[in-house]
Amino acid sequence: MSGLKYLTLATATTALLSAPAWAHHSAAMFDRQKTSSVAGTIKKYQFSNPHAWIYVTATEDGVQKEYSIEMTSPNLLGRAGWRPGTLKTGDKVVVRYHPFRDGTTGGQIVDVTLPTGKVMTEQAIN
Amino acid sequence: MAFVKMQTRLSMVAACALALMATAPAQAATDPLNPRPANAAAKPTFDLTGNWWVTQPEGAAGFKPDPPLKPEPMKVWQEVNDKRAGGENFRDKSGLCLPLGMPLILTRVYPIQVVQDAKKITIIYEYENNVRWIFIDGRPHPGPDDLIPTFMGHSIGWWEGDTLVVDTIGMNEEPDIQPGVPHTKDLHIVERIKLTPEGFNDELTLTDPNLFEKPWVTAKRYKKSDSELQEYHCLPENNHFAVGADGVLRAVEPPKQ
Repeated sequence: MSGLKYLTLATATTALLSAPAWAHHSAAMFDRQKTSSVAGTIKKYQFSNPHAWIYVTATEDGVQKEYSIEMTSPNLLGRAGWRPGTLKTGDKVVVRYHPFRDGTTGGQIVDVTLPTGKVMTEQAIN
Repeated sequence: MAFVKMQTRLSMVAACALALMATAPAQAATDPLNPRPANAAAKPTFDLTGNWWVTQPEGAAGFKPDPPLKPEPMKVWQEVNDKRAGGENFRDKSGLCLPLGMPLILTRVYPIQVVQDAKKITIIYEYENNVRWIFIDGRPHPGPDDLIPTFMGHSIGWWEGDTLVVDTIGMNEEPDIQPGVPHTKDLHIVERIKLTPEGFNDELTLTDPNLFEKPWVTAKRYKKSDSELQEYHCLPENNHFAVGADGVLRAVEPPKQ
């Protein structure tokens, strides 16, 4: 019983710490316990409210797939160093993300490794 | 130092006296359209002008603790929680570029800019550049025939000692207070705002006889921020979320490129 209680508390604490700071909508649609990674090419970088999106294409086993990666708002991304020109179509990047639960290819951003090797996150200074 | 101590002691005595005085009018029948007590301060005790940022974890987590709901609304709340645990954003209208209004706007983790003048306190929320006005010039709420329901409602404020009290009525029924807590036109919010070393505390007491078993007391904490506010408009054509026939918010196809 006490073990279960501890586990619940630990889970709750983790959930609290990892809760997205930006919350436009609830993050329930993403599996925040999982982190996936894709190395691919930027198809489109949409730097607009309410959420910025990155579309990445990658070929796996001869099949091209498109990944839709959701980010927070440009307002908060701007405070974390992102700019409209941070990503360009054709850039080779590695994106880590929390996958959609419903099977949609893509998910919620964790970080992006730019062609220069620089790692961008959503961590903003407020 | 001794002076500071004495001053602290004096202000504590004054606060106690005010607290005692404040309980008297609360027991008397107050006019819901003009709930300002007779002992409200003649002038503002403090000026909230400045930029502030809601602190975590309250900001991202809706309102805590959970609402004391009546049995029927409790079923809606449980359904939302069950679906959320299964990965579905049910009744989450915050993803639809609609104005959030009071009190859901308070759950957004963006800076706010407060401008206080003699008549009113204006709060600009960076999130969707929403604006709220709290009238502090002694005016009452509009009567039932004149009150036009709005997302933010109608707010009047006054000071009781070191506390800014804000009374809000007239909120329309959209959206939920937080997903799964729908309210009626009888929603009434009283905020008690106090300065803290970091910023200010906003304690909210929500009442709605159709919804709650007893008043729901919750709070938001703010810290001073150097961040300037920015433009934020949520354009539906850039929004990749839609609510399905089942009431669940999902990512939909991105726009044609």
